[in-house]
Amino acid sequence: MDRDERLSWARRLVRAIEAGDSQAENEAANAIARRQTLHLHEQLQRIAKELRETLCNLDAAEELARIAHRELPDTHVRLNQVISLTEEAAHSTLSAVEASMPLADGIAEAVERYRAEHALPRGPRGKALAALFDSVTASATELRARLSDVMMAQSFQDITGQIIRRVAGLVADLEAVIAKTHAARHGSAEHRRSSNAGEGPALPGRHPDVVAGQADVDELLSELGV
Amino acid sequence: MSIDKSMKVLVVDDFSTMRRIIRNLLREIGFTNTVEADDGSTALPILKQGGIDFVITDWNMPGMPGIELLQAVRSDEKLKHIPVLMVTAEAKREQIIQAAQAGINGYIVKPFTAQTLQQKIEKIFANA
Repeated sequence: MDRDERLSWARRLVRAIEAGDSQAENEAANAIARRQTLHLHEQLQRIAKELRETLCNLDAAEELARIAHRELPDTHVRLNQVISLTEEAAHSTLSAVEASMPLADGIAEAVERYRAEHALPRGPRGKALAALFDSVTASATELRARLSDVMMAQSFQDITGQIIRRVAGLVADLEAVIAKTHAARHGSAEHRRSSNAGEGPALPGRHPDVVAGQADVDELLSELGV
Repeated sequence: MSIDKSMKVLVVDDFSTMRRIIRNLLREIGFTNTVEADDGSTALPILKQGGIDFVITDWNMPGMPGIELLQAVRSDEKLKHIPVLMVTAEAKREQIIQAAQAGINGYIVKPFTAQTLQQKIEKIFANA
């Protein structure tokens, strides 16, 4: 309701009172009152909206503080747990491999020893035995090579462990930043790791400066005279 | 190849799994005289005690990283002659250049194969 409209209703109210027209007086008074109510309603809506937004922000801040205090240290513990569990698993596998390798060697050696000490019989039986021995020796050699593969595959633990340690470090940094921000409204990661500390395993496609494999390393080193 | 298989090898890695794998691989190629350290700062005292003929080290370790161990070895009159092989997941060209400039004798990126390790060791001692 603009100024002209308000003035017009006010004049109608004055005229109605002067004329003693109670119906017109009511009508004008109601129009003015309605305008007031409308205005109050708008104000209330705006206050409610602001209140809602403030409460949301408070919720987010509380949530962030809760994550910093409870969830992030938990995350750190869980990540370390992953490292120790995979480390234990890798060691169990390595123990089994280390125990199995001499067995594979033993089979091959036993066959060799038998062959050195005993002449094979002539005829089909001797031929069959020779074939059997060859097959056993070949299997033992193959088994030895596969066991070696299993051992090398355990090196995953070193790679995943390094990556997880890095993430755990990031979580700790995040925790510190949130705690600082919460306390003082400003804060930043307090230190940049020195480059000597190393970067950890490269993420595929993320670092253009990273070598593609051992062949690249060898080429680079030979250029450098190593 | 005439590498002295009785030489004493120091294996430096913060992950016990990797130390165990490297020691196993060394045993496969005939090196049975090995000792371990879990970072540069535990490796240095072992080196200073004497008797180490060859060092295989990781780069990224808590405490003293491998590159600083290499620098410490190269700047110590009694240790500077010891060959050092880096076995690491660090794969940036600038890092390999940094290691070369610091005097590395070989550089293997993880994950690696038993064959690669053997080749690099043979290369180091063929040059020696």
